[in-house]
Amino acid sequence: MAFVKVCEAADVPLDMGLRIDQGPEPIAVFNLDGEFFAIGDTCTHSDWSLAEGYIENGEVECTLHMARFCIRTGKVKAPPASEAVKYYPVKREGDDVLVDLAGGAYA
Amino acid sequence: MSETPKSIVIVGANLAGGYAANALRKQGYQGAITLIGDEPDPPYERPPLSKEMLVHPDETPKTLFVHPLIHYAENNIALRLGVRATGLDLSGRAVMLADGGKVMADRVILCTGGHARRLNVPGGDLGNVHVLRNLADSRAIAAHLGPDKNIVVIGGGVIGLEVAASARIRGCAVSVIEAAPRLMARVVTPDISAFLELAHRTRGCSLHIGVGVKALHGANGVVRTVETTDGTRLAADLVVVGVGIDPAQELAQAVGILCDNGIVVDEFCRTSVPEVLAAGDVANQPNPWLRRRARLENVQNAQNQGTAAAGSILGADTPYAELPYFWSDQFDVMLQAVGETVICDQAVLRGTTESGAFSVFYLTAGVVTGVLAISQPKSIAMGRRMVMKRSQPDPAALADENSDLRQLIG
Repeated sequence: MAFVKVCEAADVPLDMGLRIDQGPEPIAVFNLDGEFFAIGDTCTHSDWSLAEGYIENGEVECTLHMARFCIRTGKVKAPPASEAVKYYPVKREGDDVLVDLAGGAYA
Repeated sequence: MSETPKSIVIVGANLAGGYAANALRKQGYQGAITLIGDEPDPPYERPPLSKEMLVHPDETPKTLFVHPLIHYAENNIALRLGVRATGLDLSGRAVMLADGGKVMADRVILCTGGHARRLNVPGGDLGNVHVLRNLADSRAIAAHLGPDKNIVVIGGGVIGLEVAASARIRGCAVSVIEAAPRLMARVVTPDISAFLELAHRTRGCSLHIGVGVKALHGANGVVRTVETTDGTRLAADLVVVGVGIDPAQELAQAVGILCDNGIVVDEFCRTSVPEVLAAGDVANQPNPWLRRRARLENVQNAQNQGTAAAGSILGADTPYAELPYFWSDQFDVMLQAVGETVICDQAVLRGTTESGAFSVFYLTAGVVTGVLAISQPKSIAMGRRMVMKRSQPDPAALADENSDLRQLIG
């Protein structure tokens, strides 16, 4: 488990995702009421950044074709996507948000 | 009608049909499901046909098939591909097939889509004149694209303009002929048409707007020239005709199911015959957002209406009420539109057209009824919610690029 700092908490306001390009695949970090989560950033339907998406009820909606993914698990919540994105372990240390970039897994 | 049907046949192995079949299983239906399609392939998405598949003909697009073939076997969905459904036997509860076979059907969902209109002019049936509706069409067109090729696109709608852009990207000389006075006139306002016109011209397309096609001329059975109504003659190695579709309503019509610009259905996707439902491009349904009947020819509707028809058979009691949404990618121009984007009291521009990334909010009686965005997808996510919530934001705030759209949803 190699957690690395990807951003500070203040970099990820509520309702906004942050794309991180430090790991093997781009990831999107989200802030749900002060708790931070990270999932694969690339929509599995059409290449598009989920960090750009619309956040609602713990889900992120891809702005391109409205596929929805669970921010906690990466699971598909609405078509046209049919494959999940990975979710990543996240830790908070003070102001820092740390992600295990090698620890992505499918729920 | 309340008993659970033993067998459901879906005619049309396309997006609507595929979603209908999958939704039936997901919702727990355990009877027989048969998906009939006249093409050899299982359900696929059409958007790549005019874009990725033309630009990168040697790559399989990331999103083409809705599910791999194995998915249908695993879910006990019988596929009858490469065979056309030729008739409905309502009293015998069966669907007749072109190979002489028949499939028993307590219920039928007609997802028969549309037929691409052909050109009714002299020479319209010459070789190298293509429509673009299915995979085979796309592959045939892609094989003709390349530098030094003259491509004439007839029709300046979504399909025509996407093909034009893809052909330009492949290095072709491209001409577009549109009979209406402006591009995409059916779905966007004149200022958006003007923006698209400029976008295509600056990227090297030759546009002939407000002129019709008089005839196609060929040699050895293959098209060589397109003659327009203003007397222009355009050299053509390939002609792509994108002048819309006619709803494929023959099966319904033949058994007296009510049709009027498509198969007429209610908000539960039911036709005038109780055992038969319809979904997708062919279904003409009341749309509460547009406040009129509409036959929506878009991806979102195909998948969601197919799903709704399945739910309706299984007893769902929520009327289907899709907020229309479509997108189109032309070169680097990403157009997205939601709701009513033609008729309005007021169109509020957010950003500038010169920047190439802007949004327009359409208001009627102060209520947001539609949003169109060019390369600004977040506006669509926010705007869709404004339409659904019937938001009445301050137009000045909408126009201010620094305002937070989320706050304006209300």
